Amino acid sequence: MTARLAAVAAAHTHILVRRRTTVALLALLPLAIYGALYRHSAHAVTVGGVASAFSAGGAAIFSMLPARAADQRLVLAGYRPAVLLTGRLIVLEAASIVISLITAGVMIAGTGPAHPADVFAGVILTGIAAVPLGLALGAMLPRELEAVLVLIGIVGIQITAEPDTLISAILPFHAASQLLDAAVGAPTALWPRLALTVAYSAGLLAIAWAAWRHRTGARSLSTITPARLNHPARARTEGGSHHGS
Amino acid sequence: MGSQPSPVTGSQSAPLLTVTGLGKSYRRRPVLRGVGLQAYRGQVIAVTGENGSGKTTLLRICAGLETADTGTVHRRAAAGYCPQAPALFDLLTPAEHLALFAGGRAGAAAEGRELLASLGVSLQTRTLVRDLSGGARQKLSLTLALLGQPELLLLDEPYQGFDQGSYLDFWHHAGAWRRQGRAVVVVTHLLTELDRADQVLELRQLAQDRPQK
Repeated sequence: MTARLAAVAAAHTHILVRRRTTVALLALLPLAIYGALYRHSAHAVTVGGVASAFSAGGAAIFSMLPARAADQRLVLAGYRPAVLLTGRLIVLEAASIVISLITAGVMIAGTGPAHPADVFAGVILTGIAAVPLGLALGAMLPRELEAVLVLIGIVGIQITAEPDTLISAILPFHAASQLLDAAVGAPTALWPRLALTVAYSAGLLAIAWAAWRHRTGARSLSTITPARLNHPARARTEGGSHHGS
Repeated sequence: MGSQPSPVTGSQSAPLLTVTGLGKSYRRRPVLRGVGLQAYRGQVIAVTGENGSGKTTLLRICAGLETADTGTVHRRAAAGYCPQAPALFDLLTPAEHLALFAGGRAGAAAEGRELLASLGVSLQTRTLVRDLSGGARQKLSLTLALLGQPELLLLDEPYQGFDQGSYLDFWHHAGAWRRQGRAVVVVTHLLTELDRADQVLELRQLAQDRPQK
């Protein structure tokens, strides 16, 4: 289990490093948005911080969708979808934290907020939630285009919705957004927002796992062909084991 | 398609793969109906048929990647599956693929390196899979299916992109796997190679209401 998790994490680290242009563009996007606003808007830090979800979420989407067929083969070779997902999660969250620190550092230097620690916390929480969101979108949707459009929609609504509205509260970056607002306004508590973000992320991961399990055709040999459950001649497969398992 | 003695042992052992009455439709279009197959140790089974006759679907169901609507698939051995399209990670090297598919087992990775070398692909380079030729990608895909020495091989046109020499090598390898007592189910369009098979399962496009075999 540990060796397999390490193998998946190593593979996705290689892939992420080799996608450095894409990763650099994704990392620059929130900074570009912040840069366009920071002289004119009191919400530049909040918008720039939440926009960092494009980086982490986009990277997660691009780690999932092109790998669907290869992941099917890995499942046949004995990998569990949970291991395939966890390996990605570790690599992407680590990369997200690095990008978050850079993004937060630039915004603190540019704006000089009253509570800079809240900027770091808000951007990191955004990344923590964005990776599972990207994994879930990548697992559920058929192509990168659709997944990226949904990501743009969610992040865009989170940025533009008023913070005290229901629509803002039900989106994944609400807690992070509150922290980012607090960085330039009245202070707020970290722990409830951290707990909310972790709970939200866990829910998104569960969705990603269920969808990826379905997409990769992860069927153990005793349940390969459940087919139509009430069909008198329903298909089933018995016995044996996957090689490499 | 009845039971046959193993060419290797000559004895009537249980088949490694038994497919009975398999049926599959996509939406309302039937692809497979009443398909049966038994693959014994030491046999090469060729699956032939025109485009759209369900060859790939049959192998995907046998591999566990798709569900059938009707019928049973019974496997008694670990299976290695080589899909028609290689299904690899473009941004990994062949060596990194071997490490990943071996799942941390040093023995399996070493075995993969030997297999890949025997198919004529060098592991010395840092070439990414996206920069390999189509034939080299397919050889890597085939090697990954063989990792762990599965007794049952499900190979969906595994020689696509091979040059003539590699193609002939593939059939020599298939003969060696057969002699090792493995069962090899291979989808092929090439009728000239059918004499290398112990069984031929010909699938037809479903136009009439009748079984395919």
